[in-house]
Amino acid sequence: MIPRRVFSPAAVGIVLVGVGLAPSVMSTSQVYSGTEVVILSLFAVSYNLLFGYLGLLSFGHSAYFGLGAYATALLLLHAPGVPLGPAIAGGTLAGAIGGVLIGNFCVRLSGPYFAMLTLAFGQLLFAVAWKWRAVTRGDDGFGGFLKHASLALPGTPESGSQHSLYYLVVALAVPVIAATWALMTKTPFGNVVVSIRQNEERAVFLGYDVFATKLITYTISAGLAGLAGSLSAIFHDFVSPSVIDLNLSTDVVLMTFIGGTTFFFGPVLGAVFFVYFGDFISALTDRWQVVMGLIFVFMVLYVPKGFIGLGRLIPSVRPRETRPETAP
Amino acid sequence: MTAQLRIEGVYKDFGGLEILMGVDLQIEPGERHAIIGPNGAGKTTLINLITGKYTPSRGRIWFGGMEITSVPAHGRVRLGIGRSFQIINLFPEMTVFENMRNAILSKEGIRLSVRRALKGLRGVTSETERVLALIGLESFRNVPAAELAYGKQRTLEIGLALGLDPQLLILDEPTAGISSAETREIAGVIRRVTERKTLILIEHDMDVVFALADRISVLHHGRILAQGSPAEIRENPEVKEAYLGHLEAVG
Amino acid sequence: MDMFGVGVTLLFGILNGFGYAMLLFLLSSGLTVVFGMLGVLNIAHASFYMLGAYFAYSVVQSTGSFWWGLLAAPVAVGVLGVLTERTLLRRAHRLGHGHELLLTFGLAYIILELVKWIWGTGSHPVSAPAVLDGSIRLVGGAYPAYRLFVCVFGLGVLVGLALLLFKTRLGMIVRAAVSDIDMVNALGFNVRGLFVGVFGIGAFLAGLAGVIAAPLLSVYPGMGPDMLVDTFIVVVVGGLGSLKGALIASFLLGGLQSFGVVIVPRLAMIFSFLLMTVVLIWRPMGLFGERA
Repeated sequence: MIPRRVFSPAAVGIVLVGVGLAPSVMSTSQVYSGTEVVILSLFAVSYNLLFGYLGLLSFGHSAYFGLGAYATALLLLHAPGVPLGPAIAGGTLAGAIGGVLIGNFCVRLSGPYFAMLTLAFGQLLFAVAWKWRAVTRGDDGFGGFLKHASLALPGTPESGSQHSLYYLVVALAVPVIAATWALMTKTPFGNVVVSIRQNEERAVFLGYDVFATKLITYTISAGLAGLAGSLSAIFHDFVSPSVIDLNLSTDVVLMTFIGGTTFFFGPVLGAVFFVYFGDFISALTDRWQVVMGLIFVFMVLYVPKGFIGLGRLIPSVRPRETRPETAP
Repeated sequence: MTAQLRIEGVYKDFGGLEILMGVDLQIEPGERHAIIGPNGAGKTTLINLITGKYTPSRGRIWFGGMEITSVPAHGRVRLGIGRSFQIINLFPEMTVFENMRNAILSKEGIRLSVRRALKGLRGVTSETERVLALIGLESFRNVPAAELAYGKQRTLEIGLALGLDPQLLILDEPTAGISSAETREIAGVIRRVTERKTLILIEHDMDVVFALADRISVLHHGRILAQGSPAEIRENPEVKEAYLGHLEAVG
Repeated sequence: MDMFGVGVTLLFGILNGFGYAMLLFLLSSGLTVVFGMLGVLNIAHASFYMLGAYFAYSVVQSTGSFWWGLLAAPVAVGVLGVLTERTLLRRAHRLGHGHELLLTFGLAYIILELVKWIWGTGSHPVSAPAVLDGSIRLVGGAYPAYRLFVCVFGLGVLVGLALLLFKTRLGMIVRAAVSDIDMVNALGFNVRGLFVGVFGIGAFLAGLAGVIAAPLLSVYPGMGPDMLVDTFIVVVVGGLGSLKGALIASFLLGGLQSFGVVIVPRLAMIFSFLLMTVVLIWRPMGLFGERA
């Protein structure tokens, strides 16, 4: 079960101030990877709405990240002068629309069927991005669309600099992650999602519309992934099929699982680990993905609840142990 | 007067295996109706057709004058059909309170709401506590359902259906697997909280059936073999032959 | 084009589709039997296919003979399959289906990265054996001899597999285990031991498909994921756990791909997706599946 624990306001304040002040003591490259972490955190949080909350393992989540990235990039490129705000909203919406259309098929299924169908749809969208050269420029990708934008977004003083991009990403991603946390852990809606994951049949026979709940959750998840993709496009001022490929879909499975799916912020931990530990081992070997894969397999076998699961071993962290979960 | 529930010529087969072969049944408002019959007679299948877990191969079902044959299961709950399960079917990692709150939230129509925090819904909290007190589980409020003793899980299983405050309550073997002392206790709870409600009861324990039901239908090989008051059923030679005699011989 | 030309094009299209269908069936048969027996969807199945191709590439490089590759690579992949089952999958099995799925996913990830590490990210051509390098005159057209070999070889494997499954005692037990493993277990067969063999043979067949695909499609790191999607479509359409379904869906998909390329060269895969989507809406358990 997803624990609903109370955060002390002081802890939240310290984290927020830390995130806000961090760039002033960091080098440009540190700010760069910090921004990356925040974008991936949002993406992993969106993924965990499916993986952790609904117990559905998707292999095609980069589809929505990519829809958001391409939509924002194309909007900025073809509608010169469009402010960043609507461009980002457009990317988020593109992800959500893709989510509602594809989710309509996928959420009727579960287990391996869901996994296969999401993989297939993900690969289909990848093929479109790869082959529809007239719009996406294929595997070359395209960039430089940021200069067309009117960067009149509040809170971004000297736009285009690494620091202002960091603040733009943080200013959008952190409140959205917080709102998603509140949605999933505080509201009747989140309660229904958790209930369905625990016992779908009983939820039905208490009058809950399981299909609608899953589809809404899937759509929210896709919208958040679209927002992450949109921010990524702006951050890199470049898009290519790598924002919609299988690598990205598998990366998000890895980081979410490694961080821990049973706790809302587990995936954030996973994203932090993925970026920083990835940097660390890529300094030692250029095939750092092999190491990441080995860590993942090791954790599947021996730490099935992710890093957050390690925390559970300390009794004071969680007063009562939950029953072993049926895996997603 | 419109019947609370009307079933007309309902058939159900699973891949060629016919479980129900033309069941007709009418249940009046306020009636407490028991469905009995040997294992494999199709009792649970009939419940699953009424509640929308399955759709019939043939035949139609009305609820309070409205045809519900193709209404999805969750929609039937919202119309006023509540059920419990033969096999314990709870939210295992949620507490007793959280389990019951899921029923109360649905009854109040607060399902996919995002406007207010769960904790702020005072009416829901007090209603949840009221129903827990009614079924005698208030002292287990914060125990996860999976950690309850079996008999208490059984009570909660029935309680969730009661929490919906349905017009038609369907209990599928509410005393399955519990001791005779607990059976008396649970039968007492059912009697107390189902006053003036329409009840369909599937039950093997004949003492419970005769204590609770006004009318009884005997299901045998997918058909209604006999129907009548407890006294009539007790005296019916066909039923004795098909069912009661068999039970007495075993018991 | 005259009528005769159309006829030749059609025949070649059918042959191309048949060859691809054979590849798909070599892969999907193992995947579907493993799923039928233990409910494990093996994401790494297409990685075995990829490894077969890469092993063959290396063997051909060092020996200069395609036939050595065809002999050695599938066996090596089969052994790897057995080791995987014995060490990792067995352990994950105790943690439940979700973890088995995650484990095979992690394996696929590692194999892909290892392949990139060892053989690089570029693509390598594997030449067909000299005797099959040319074309064969076929009803007035020239058809690549190797493609014809794929059709014939694939058909041979198909017949062999059918004989194994339907004419031997072992095949009978495997088929029984696919439809009801608990019953076979209760009858006293060592299901887990049987499963190792089935998993190994599945890996062997996938490796074999990789070897014979290598001269056709060349060898590149994306070949696993590409094939994975098509194999999944086959088992979804045919029904997870159904061999008959896998065979029929392989032919359906082979035909769609082969003729789709002629009609819309760049997006032939759209047809496969349409097929899958239609089947999933109409029959979520697939054409011959029993559970969804």
